[in-house]
Amino acid sequence: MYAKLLVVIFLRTCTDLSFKAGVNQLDFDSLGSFGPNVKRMLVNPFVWSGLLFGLMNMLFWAVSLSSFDLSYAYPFLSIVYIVMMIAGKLLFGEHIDRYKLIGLLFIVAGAGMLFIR
Amino acid sequence: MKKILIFILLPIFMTVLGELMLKHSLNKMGVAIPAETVAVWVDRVHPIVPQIPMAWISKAIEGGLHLAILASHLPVVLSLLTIVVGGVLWLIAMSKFEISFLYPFLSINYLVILAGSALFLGEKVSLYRCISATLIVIGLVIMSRSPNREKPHDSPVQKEP
Repeated sequence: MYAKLLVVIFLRTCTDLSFKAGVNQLDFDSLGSFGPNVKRMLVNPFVWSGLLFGLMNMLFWAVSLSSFDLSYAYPFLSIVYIVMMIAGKLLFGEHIDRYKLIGLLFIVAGAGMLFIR
Repeated sequence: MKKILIFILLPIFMTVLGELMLKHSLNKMGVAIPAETVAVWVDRVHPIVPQIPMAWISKAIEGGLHLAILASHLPVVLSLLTIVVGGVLWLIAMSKFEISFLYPFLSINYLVILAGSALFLGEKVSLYRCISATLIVIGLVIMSRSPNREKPHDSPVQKEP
Protein backbone atom coordinates (compact mmCIF):
# COMPACT_ATOMS: atom_id res chain seq x y z
CA MET A 1 0.00 0.00 0.00
CA TYR A 2 2.85 2.37 0.89
CA ALA A 3 4.42 1.59 -2.47
CA LYS A 4 1.70 3.76 -4.06
CA LEU A 5 2.63 6.76 -1.92
CA LEU A 6 6.31 6.21 -2.73
CA VAL A 7 5.47 6.22 -6.44
CA VAL A 8 3.64 9.54 -5.98
CA ILE A 9 6.64 11.00 -4.14
CA PHE A 10 8.93 9.83 -6.96
CA LEU A 11 6.65 11.25 -9.68
CA ARG A 12 6.16 14.58 -7.91
CA THR A 13 9.93 14.94 -7.51
CA CYS A 14 10.46 14.15 -11.20
CA THR A 15 7.77 16.67 -12.19
CA ASP A 16 9.31 19.55 -10.29
CA LEU A 17 12.89 18.68 -11.24
CA SER A 18 11.92 18.53 -14.92
CA PHE A 19 10.15 21.89 -14.79
CA LYS A 20 13.03 23.44 -12.89
CA ALA A 21 15.55 22.10 -15.42
CA GLY A 22 13.31 23.49 -18.19
CA VAL A 23 12.80 27.00 -16.80
CA ASN A 24 16.44 27.28 -15.68
CA GLN A 25 17.26 27.51 -19.37
CA LEU A 26 14.95 30.51 -19.76
CA ASP A 27 15.31 34.07 -18.51
CA PHE A 28 12.02 35.46 -17.30
CA ASP A 29 13.62 38.51 -15.71
CA SER A 30 13.28 40.63 -18.81
CA LEU A 31 9.57 41.06 -19.46
CA GLY A 32 10.22 41.98 -23.07
CA SER A 33 11.32 38.46 -23.88
CA PHE A 34 8.05 36.93 -22.72
CA GLY A 35 6.96 35.82 -26.18
CA PRO A 36 10.24 34.16 -27.17
CA ASN A 37 10.42 32.54 -23.73
CA VAL A 38 7.02 30.95 -24.14
CA LYS A 39 8.08 29.72 -27.56
CA ARG A 40 11.26 28.24 -26.16
CA MET A 41 9.28 26.65 -23.34
CA LEU A 42 7.06 24.85 -25.81
CA VAL A 43 10.03 23.27 -27.58
CA ASN A 44 11.90 22.42 -24.38
CA PRO A 45 12.06 18.65 -23.75
CA PHE A 46 12.26 19.18 -19.96
CA VAL A 47 9.02 21.13 -19.96
CA TRP A 48 7.31 18.31 -21.82
CA SER A 49 8.72 15.59 -19.58
CA GLY A 50 7.54 17.71 -16.64
CA LEU A 51 4.01 17.80 -18.07
CA LEU A 52 4.08 14.04 -18.60
CA PHE A 53 5.34 13.34 -15.07
CA GLY A 54 2.75 15.80 -13.75
CA LEU A 55 -0.08 13.96 -15.45
CA MET A 56 1.09 10.59 -14.10
CA ASN A 57 1.56 12.17 -10.67
CA MET A 58 -2.08 13.29 -10.69
CA LEU A 59 -3.40 9.86 -11.64
CA PHE A 60 -1.26 7.98 -9.12
CA TRP A 61 -2.20 10.50 -6.44
CA ALA A 62 -5.86 9.63 -7.07
CA VAL A 63 -5.05 5.91 -6.90
CA SER A 64 -3.14 6.14 -3.63
CA LEU A 65 -5.62 8.53 -2.08
CA SER A 66 -8.31 5.87 -2.46
CA SER A 67 -6.51 3.73 0.13
CA PHE A 68 -5.44 6.45 2.62
CA ASP A 69 -7.07 9.20 4.67
CA LEU A 70 -6.53 12.65 3.13
CA SER A 71 -5.38 13.97 6.52
CA TYR A 72 -2.69 11.25 6.44
CA ALA A 73 -1.60 11.15 2.81
CA TYR A 74 -1.36 14.93 2.27
CA PRO A 75 1.18 15.61 5.07
CA PHE A 76 2.95 12.35 4.14
CA LEU A 77 3.80 13.90 0.79
CA SER A 78 5.92 16.52 2.56
CA ILE A 79 8.68 13.91 2.25
CA VAL A 80 9.00 15.42 -1.23
CA TYR A 81 10.63 18.50 0.37
CA ILE A 82 13.39 16.30 1.78
CA VAL A 83 14.08 14.54 -1.53
CA MET A 84 13.88 17.84 -3.38
CA MET A 85 16.48 19.59 -1.25
CA ILE A 86 19.00 16.78 -1.80
CA ALA A 87 18.21 16.66 -5.53
CA GLY A 88 18.47 20.46 -5.82
CA LYS A 89 21.94 20.33 -4.27
CA LEU A 90 23.13 17.43 -6.43
CA LEU A 91 21.61 18.41 -9.78
CA PHE A 92 21.54 22.22 -9.75
CA GLY A 93 24.22 23.03 -7.17
CA GLU A 94 21.72 24.85 -4.97
CA HIS A 95 22.82 26.01 -1.53
CA ILE A 96 21.79 24.29 1.68
CA ASP A 97 22.09 26.59 4.68
CA ARG A 98 21.08 26.61 8.35
CA TYR A 99 17.54 27.81 7.68
CA LYS A 100 16.86 25.11 5.14
CA LEU A 101 18.39 22.40 7.34
CA ILE A 102 16.48 23.41 10.48
CA GLY A 103 13.27 23.78 8.45
CA LEU A 104 13.91 20.36 6.98
CA LEU A 105 14.37 18.87 10.47
CA PHE A 106 10.95 20.16 11.47
CA ILE A 107 9.40 18.69 8.34
CA VAL A 108 11.11 15.34 8.94
CA ALA A 109 9.82 15.36 12.52
CA GLY A 110 6.33 16.23 11.26
CA ALA A 111 6.33 13.50 8.64
CA GLY A 112 7.74 11.02 11.16
CA MET A 113 5.00 11.85 13.63
CA LEU A 114 2.48 10.49 11.09
CA PHE A 115 3.77 6.96 11.73
CA ILE A 116 2.62 7.09 15.36
CA ARG A 117 -0.86 5.67 15.55
CA MET B 1 -4.85 43.53 0.82
CA LYS B 2 -7.28 42.90 -2.00
CA LYS B 3 -4.39 41.66 -4.13
CA ILE B 4 -3.35 39.17 -1.43
CA LEU B 5 -6.89 37.88 -1.19
CA ILE B 6 -7.24 37.24 -4.91
CA PHE B 7 -3.76 36.09 -5.87
CA ILE B 8 -2.79 34.09 -2.78
CA LEU B 9 -5.94 32.85 -1.11
CA LEU B 10 -7.71 31.88 -4.33
CA PRO B 11 -5.10 29.28 -5.40
CA ILE B 12 -4.99 27.90 -1.85
CA PHE B 13 -8.78 27.67 -1.82
CA MET B 14 -8.85 25.93 -5.22
CA THR B 15 -6.17 23.41 -4.22
CA VAL B 16 -7.81 22.51 -0.93
CA LEU B 17 -11.23 22.33 -2.56
CA GLY B 18 -9.83 20.04 -5.25
CA GLU B 19 -8.20 17.69 -2.74
CA LEU B 20 -11.37 17.48 -0.64
CA MET B 21 -13.51 16.90 -3.75
CA LEU B 22 -11.08 14.21 -4.92
CA LYS B 23 -11.12 12.32 -1.64
CA HIS B 24 -14.90 12.71 -1.39
CA SER B 25 -15.51 11.26 -4.85
CA LEU B 26 -13.03 8.44 -4.22
CA ASN B 27 -14.84 7.59 -0.98
CA LYS B 28 -18.14 7.52 -2.80
CA MET B 29 -17.17 5.45 -5.81
CA GLY B 30 -15.45 2.58 -3.94
CA VAL B 31 -13.25 1.06 -6.63
CA ALA B 32 -13.81 -2.67 -6.76
CA ILE B 33 -12.06 -4.35 -9.67
CA PRO B 34 -13.80 -7.60 -10.64
CA ALA B 35 -11.40 -10.55 -10.19
CA GLU B 36 -12.73 -12.19 -13.39
CA THR B 37 -11.74 -9.20 -15.52
CA VAL B 38 -8.22 -9.31 -14.10
CA ALA B 39 -8.04 -13.08 -14.69
CA VAL B 40 -9.11 -12.68 -18.33
CA TRP B 41 -6.38 -10.13 -18.96
CA VAL B 42 -3.74 -12.18 -17.14
CA ASP B 43 -4.58 -15.14 -19.40
CA ARG B 44 -4.09 -12.91 -22.43
CA VAL B 45 -0.84 -11.29 -21.32
CA HIS B 46 0.88 -14.26 -19.67
CA PRO B 47 1.61 -16.24 -22.90
CA ILE B 48 3.32 -13.16 -24.39
CA VAL B 49 5.76 -12.74 -21.48
CA PRO B 50 5.98 -16.14 -19.74
CA GLN B 51 9.22 -15.12 -17.95
CA ILE B 52 7.38 -12.66 -15.70
CA PRO B 53 5.72 -14.22 -12.61
CA MET B 54 1.91 -14.45 -12.81
CA ALA B 55 1.50 -12.55 -9.54
CA TRP B 56 3.37 -9.53 -10.93
CA ILE B 57 1.33 -9.50 -14.12
CA SER B 58 -1.89 -9.70 -12.17
CA LYS B 59 -0.77 -6.85 -9.88
CA ALA B 60 0.17 -4.69 -12.86
CA ILE B 61 -3.12 -5.36 -14.64
CA GLU B 62 -5.09 -4.63 -11.49
CA GLY B 63 -3.22 -1.34 -11.12
CA GLY B 64 -3.81 -0.46 -14.77
CA LEU B 65 -7.53 -1.15 -14.51
CA HIS B 66 -7.72 0.93 -11.33
CA LEU B 67 -5.99 3.79 -13.12
CA ALA B 68 -8.32 3.52 -16.12
CA ILE B 69 -11.45 3.48 -13.93
CA LEU B 70 -10.29 6.60 -12.06
CA ALA B 71 -9.23 8.43 -15.22
CA SER B 72 -12.68 7.92 -16.75
CA HIS B 73 -14.64 8.93 -13.64
CA LEU B 74 -15.92 12.48 -14.17
CA PRO B 75 -15.91 13.68 -10.50
CA VAL B 76 -12.30 12.50 -10.14
CA VAL B 77 -11.26 14.26 -13.34
CA LEU B 78 -13.03 17.47 -12.26
CA SER B 79 -11.32 17.41 -8.86
CA LEU B 80 -7.93 16.86 -10.48
CA LEU B 81 -8.65 19.78 -12.83
CA THR B 82 -9.49 21.97 -9.82
CA ILE B 83 -6.14 21.07 -8.27
CA VAL B 84 -4.37 21.88 -11.56
CA VAL B 85 -6.12 25.28 -11.79
CA GLY B 86 -5.04 25.95 -8.20
CA GLY B 87 -1.45 25.11 -9.21
CA VAL B 88 -1.54 27.43 -12.22
CA LEU B 89 -2.98 30.28 -10.11
CA TRP B 90 -0.19 29.64 -7.61
CA LEU B 91 2.38 30.05 -10.42
CA ILE B 92 0.77 33.39 -11.29
CA ALA B 93 1.03 34.41 -7.63
CA MET B 94 4.72 33.44 -7.71
CA SER B 95 5.28 35.89 -10.54
CA LYS B 96 3.63 38.71 -8.53
CA PHE B 97 5.13 38.29 -5.06
CA GLU B 98 8.49 37.44 -3.55
CA ILE B 99 8.85 33.73 -2.96
CA SER B 100 9.92 34.21 0.67
CA PHE B 101 6.71 36.08 1.35
CA LEU B 102 4.62 33.51 -0.53
CA TYR B 103 6.00 30.23 0.76
CA PRO B 104 4.63 30.38 4.31
CA PHE B 105 1.18 30.83 2.79
CA LEU B 106 1.61 27.45 1.14
CA SER B 107 1.69 25.85 4.57
CA ILE B 108 -1.86 27.07 5.19
CA ASN B 109 -2.83 24.18 2.89
CA TYR B 110 -1.77 21.63 5.49
CA LEU B 111 -3.90 23.17 8.21
CA VAL B 112 -6.98 23.76 6.06
CA ILE B 113 -6.81 20.22 4.64
CA LEU B 114 -6.60 18.82 8.15
CA ALA B 115 -9.64 20.82 9.23
CA GLY B 116 -11.47 20.04 6.00
CA SER B 117 -10.94 16.29 6.21
CA ALA B 118 -12.25 16.30 9.77
CA LEU B 119 -15.25 18.50 8.95
CA PHE B 120 -16.33 17.33 5.51
CA LEU B 121 -14.88 13.84 5.13
CA GLY B 122 -15.43 12.62 8.68
CA GLU B 123 -11.82 11.48 9.07
CA LYS B 124 -10.53 10.93 12.59
CA VAL B 125 -7.86 13.59 12.91
CA SER B 126 -5.71 12.51 15.85
CA LEU B 127 -3.60 14.80 18.00
CA TYR B 128 -0.51 13.33 16.30
CA ARG B 129 -1.75 14.45 12.88
CA CYS B 130 -2.33 17.97 14.21
CA ILE B 131 1.17 18.11 15.72
CA SER B 132 2.58 16.69 12.47
CA ALA B 133 0.93 19.38 10.34
CA THR B 134 2.07 22.09 12.78
CA LEU B 135 5.68 20.87 12.60
CA ILE B 136 5.54 20.92 8.79
CA VAL B 137 4.16 24.48 8.86
CA ILE B 138 6.95 25.62 11.21
CA GLY B 139 9.53 23.88 8.99
CA LEU B 140 8.24 25.60 5.83
CA VAL B 141 8.23 29.02 7.50
CA ILE B 142 11.82 28.57 8.72
CA MET B 143 12.91 27.39 5.25
CA SER B 144 11.37 30.46 3.66
CA ARG B 145 13.66 32.66 5.84
CA SER B 146 16.74 31.25 4.08
CA PRO B 147 18.88 33.89 2.33
CA ASN B 148 19.63 31.45 -0.52
CA ARG B 149 16.44 31.82 -2.53
CA GLU B 150 17.61 32.94 -5.91
CA LYS B 151 19.08 30.29 -8.13
CA PRO B 152 22.89 30.08 -8.04
CA HIS B 153 24.53 32.47 -10.47
CA ASP B 154 26.91 29.89 -11.89
CA SER B 155 24.01 27.77 -13.14
CA PRO B 156 24.06 27.56 -16.92
CA VAL B 157 21.54 29.83 -18.60
CA GLN B 158 20.95 29.11 -22.24
CA LYS B 159 21.59 32.19 -24.34
CA GLU B 160 19.41 33.31 -27.21
CA PRO B 161 20.74 31.58 -30.34
